[in-house]
Amino acid sequence: MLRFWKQRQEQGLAQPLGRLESTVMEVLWGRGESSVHDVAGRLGRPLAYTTVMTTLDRLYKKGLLERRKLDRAFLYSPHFSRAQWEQKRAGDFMAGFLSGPEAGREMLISCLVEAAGEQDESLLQELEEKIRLKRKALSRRRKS
Amino acid sequence: MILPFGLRLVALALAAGFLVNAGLSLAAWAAAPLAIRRAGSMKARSAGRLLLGLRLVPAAAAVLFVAVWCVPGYFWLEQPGPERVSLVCLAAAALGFAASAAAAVRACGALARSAQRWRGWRAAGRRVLLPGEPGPVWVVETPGPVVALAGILRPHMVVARTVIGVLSPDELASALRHERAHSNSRDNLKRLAVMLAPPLLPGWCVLHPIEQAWLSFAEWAADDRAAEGSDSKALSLASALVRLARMKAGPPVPELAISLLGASGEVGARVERLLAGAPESEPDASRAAHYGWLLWAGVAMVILQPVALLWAHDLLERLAG
Repeated sequence: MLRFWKQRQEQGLAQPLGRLESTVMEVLWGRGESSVHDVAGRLGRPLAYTTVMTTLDRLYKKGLLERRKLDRAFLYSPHFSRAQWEQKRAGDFMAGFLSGPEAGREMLISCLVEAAGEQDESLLQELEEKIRLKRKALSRRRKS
Repeated sequence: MILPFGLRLVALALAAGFLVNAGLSLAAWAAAPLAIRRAGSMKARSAGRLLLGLRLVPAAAAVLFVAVWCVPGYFWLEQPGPERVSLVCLAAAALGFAASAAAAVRACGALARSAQRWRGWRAAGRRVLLPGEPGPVWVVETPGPVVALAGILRPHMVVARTVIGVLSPDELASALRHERAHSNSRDNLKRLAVMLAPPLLPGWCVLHPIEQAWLSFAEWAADDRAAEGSDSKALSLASALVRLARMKAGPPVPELAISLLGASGEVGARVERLLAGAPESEPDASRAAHYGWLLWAGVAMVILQPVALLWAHDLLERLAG
């Protein structure tokens, strides 16, 4: 039974989040432990209480949330921090690709190298701009 | 198992060294997050010292325990002749041997790779006295943005000819000041000491995060010394870092040759730090260093007491079973 529950949770974690689920997660990451009522009030659009409750319950069953009962209502809190969740998602994505056919693996690696190169290039450009501005400020200070 | 006198000493020394190293490594591992956080609020040089100390304490204490207590106590208090050694002691000795051997192999490999690269650089370069530099520098024909410090006891500064063409005189001077700061701090020797410090278990070094944090702070400390508290020198170094990062990468610099660029992911953070204002470097002999010497003197006074020898021998006897 426990194994079945764990398996279901792992399957749930591997699934991508829907739009409402992502918004709910954002609310909980920002606010911490909240009731259904609290989350519903912060979604920025009117949604039925039951829709929010079902979404929270689904996220709980997927293993993304923890919950505890207070009086007659559940309080939900994120099981992972945002950084842990992003890391897990990236890890699952990479693992999925790397376990596929070799052509796919090579393509993924070449895309990553290219993306990293572009990232580096934009970072270096940003740093060069900062150096230029600092140099300008320094020479202005020297003149005055 | 019954072992002869000499072999029993070896087994006990390895087992005791392993247990001291493992116990203190776990303590240092538990203290690592706090120490790294604390280091973040200190000046780079002091932070580097703190983390290096934490990384080396388990191995240093293990060597000290074995050399000052185990071996003399064994010769002083043990009767010559074969004696029993427990299986637990033998297992600890085997793990101690494996961890020490892994560290030795790692350090020897790094030394061999660094020596080979240095020979290659030397064969394709010449010693030059660059204008404004206090000492000679090896200008070498090699691909990649090489500004490095090679050698352990008498390190040499190495610069690729292409780098001299790319950097302005101010940038080059800053880059060389950075490497000279590493040379004055004997950072290559410290790296070798870190490599020689045995891991908790072969292939499992729980102190790796401390090692990585120390490497970053060592780079920052060298940046501080190269900037010499001057905004324009800090700016020249930042500019040199960005220019070198733009150059086409060559073969990686071996572990025991410090390169100006260090870990590539660090360049952004280092440049931002230099742009935030020229950091002041600390004086060579800080108060912390004096306290360190006092602490060592206190430790030496304790460990040289005969009662400590008896106590250590008693512990060894329990370990031997």
